[in-house]
Amino acid sequence: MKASELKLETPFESPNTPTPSEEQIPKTETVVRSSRGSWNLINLDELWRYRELIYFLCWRDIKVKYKQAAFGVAWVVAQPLFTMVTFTFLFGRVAKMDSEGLPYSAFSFCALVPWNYFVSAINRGSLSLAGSGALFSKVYFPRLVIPIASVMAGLLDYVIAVGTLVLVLGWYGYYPQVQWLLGIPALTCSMVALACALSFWLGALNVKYRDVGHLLPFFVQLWMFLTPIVYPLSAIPKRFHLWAKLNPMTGIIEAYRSVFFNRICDWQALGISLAMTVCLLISGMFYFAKTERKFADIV
Amino acid sequence: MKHSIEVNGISKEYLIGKQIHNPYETLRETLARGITTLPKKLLHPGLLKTPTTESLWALKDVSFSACPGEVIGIVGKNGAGKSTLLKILSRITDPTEGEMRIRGRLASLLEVGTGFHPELTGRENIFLNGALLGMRKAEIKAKFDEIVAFSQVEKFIDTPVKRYSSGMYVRLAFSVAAHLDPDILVIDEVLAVGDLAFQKKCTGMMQNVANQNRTVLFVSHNLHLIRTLCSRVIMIEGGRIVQDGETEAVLPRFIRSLQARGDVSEANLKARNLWGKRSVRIDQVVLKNKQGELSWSFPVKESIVLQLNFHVIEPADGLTVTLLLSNPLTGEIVTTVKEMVTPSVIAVGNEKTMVLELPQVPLRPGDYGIQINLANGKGDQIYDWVGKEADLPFLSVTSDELDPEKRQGYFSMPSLIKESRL
Repeated sequence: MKASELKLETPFESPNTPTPSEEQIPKTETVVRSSRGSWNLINLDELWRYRELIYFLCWRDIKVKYKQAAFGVAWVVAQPLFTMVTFTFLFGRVAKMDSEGLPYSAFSFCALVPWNYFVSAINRGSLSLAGSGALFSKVYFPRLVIPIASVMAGLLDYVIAVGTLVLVLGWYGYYPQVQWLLGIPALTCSMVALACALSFWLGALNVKYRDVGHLLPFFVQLWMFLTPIVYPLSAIPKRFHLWAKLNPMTGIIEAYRSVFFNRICDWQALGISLAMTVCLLISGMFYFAKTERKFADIV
Repeated sequence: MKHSIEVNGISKEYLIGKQIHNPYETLRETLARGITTLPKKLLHPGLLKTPTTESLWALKDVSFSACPGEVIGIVGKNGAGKSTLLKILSRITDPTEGEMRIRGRLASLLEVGTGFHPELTGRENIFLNGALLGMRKAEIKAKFDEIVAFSQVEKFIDTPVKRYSSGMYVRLAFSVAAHLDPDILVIDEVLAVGDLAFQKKCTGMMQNVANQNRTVLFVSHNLHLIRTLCSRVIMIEGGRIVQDGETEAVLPRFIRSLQARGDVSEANLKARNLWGKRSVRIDQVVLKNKQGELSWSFPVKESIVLQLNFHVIEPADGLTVTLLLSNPLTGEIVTTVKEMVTPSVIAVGNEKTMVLELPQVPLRPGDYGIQINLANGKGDQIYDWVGKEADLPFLSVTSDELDPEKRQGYFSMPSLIKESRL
């Protein structure tokens, strides 16, 4: 991106730029009213107009994260691998956890990769709003951009981790198949949506009650053990299955395994998970819209 | 012509002061309070509406509208509500009451360099900051060269901004904002940055925006700048618009309001930063003309009498007074007056006074910023400083001369024609 190359771009190609010929066109009118006591909706149009800001914020997070780390991307591969080795030793060897006949390393790693992404996404997404006070008090943009960008910024790490996972599975003799190409992106999308939904809720709550930020690590740890990551769903007694499936991550993690190991998918678990994601996403957006206009005053 | 901004009855309430419950209460406290007060609420539904906090109306019933092409200055004392108004206009915070309509793209510059990340390079920050201000990527690309040229940091564009000098940082940040091409530009006092040449560039930019039939709203304490740029001024006091009209009609009223005795002594002097050793504290700054009338405005060659009322907290080792006059546009010091009041020790006590006279002030017509400090007898240890943040009114030197050439410079040198062969 040399300055000289940039000149090749057609100036004013964006519809938002007023050019002399556009002066006659009626300009967009923004009406701001007191929000007291009314329920607002998220302005999705506006959010769409600011989509590039989401991109720039993600890109900033990624750049800053790796700018001064000597090994850069190596950490992304090392972290889940290290966890996998620890878990394989602890749960696979010592505790002799059942892994449905699969090699324990492969079994736990293909749950750890999505789970690690999910945890870092909700952590960052929930804390991002409270950390953006300086921006909120100085410039206007749709506030929803902040948690969305934080959730998305982890995707690069996730993609690299999935690449590592493919290599590890290859080592154990599970080679890429067609359903991986469909299944992985689809499951990633549903996980991103769930992470966004939780970040809207927890992020907006955290602006008002910083307790959320303190509770989050415990909550996440507890959640990890309630999700079939180090153990298979089949290890839980049958009568508790429905309860386990009410955890939206159960369906997603089990579905990842069924994609990677070419097994039958538990559609019931995945369906519950999707339904919960949609509910959380819509309610999260309502709650966010209700509180976002106060952020600048209380952050 | 259609208005670009219409503001109807905007009010903003902030909760402050004595509060029955803590606004930063924890989740546990909220839940506990909710549960403990629930029976009471159920029994007496009327109590639901009782105010739980004391509130402050930062703005009350503010209405105005602006047309494209207008440059409007907003003036008011510290805490009058100017910044709150700008925040509401920029949609950062919500009005508690009222409604406003904005036609076109509004850009606000409440701070220079919002969202700049120190680890990123100048180039990266241009894109990030531009996107935050609402520019599209393609638009930033198209204007990239212009932005860099305007900021004069070409050489360092690929250096992380944490290595920039503060001047470079500010220039780059301002340049991004200057290329926003908004229909409405809202600016808080951000022009008080950069060197003189860059400030001129910025004022030029604002003038351009207005010439292109856009609206500029800007807050400044720099009356000279307001006089140069604005055709219309809105004066705010206590959260209300007290006057809205032509610059030359509103500014005198604003200056008079600053000159009211109470203002200079109480609000501003109390709000100022504590600076120096603090053995002596200035309570009041009074300017008078030869006749002893209070005034901050003097005709050319008139005498000025400066009276300082102060109290002594610890015994002071002598007293020296220094008066600095500065150019309000650049902050450049025009002249310094320094006089020793006494070399001997001053005892602790209240209601002390000193009077300094400046006979036949040779300043050229214009506004001059005033800073005052009191130091010890040797003048090497400052006791109290009334600086820029005290918001003292400007000292205006007026003249009815019409010769514009004579307005240049700061001083009138005595001169006379000694001889001429004609």
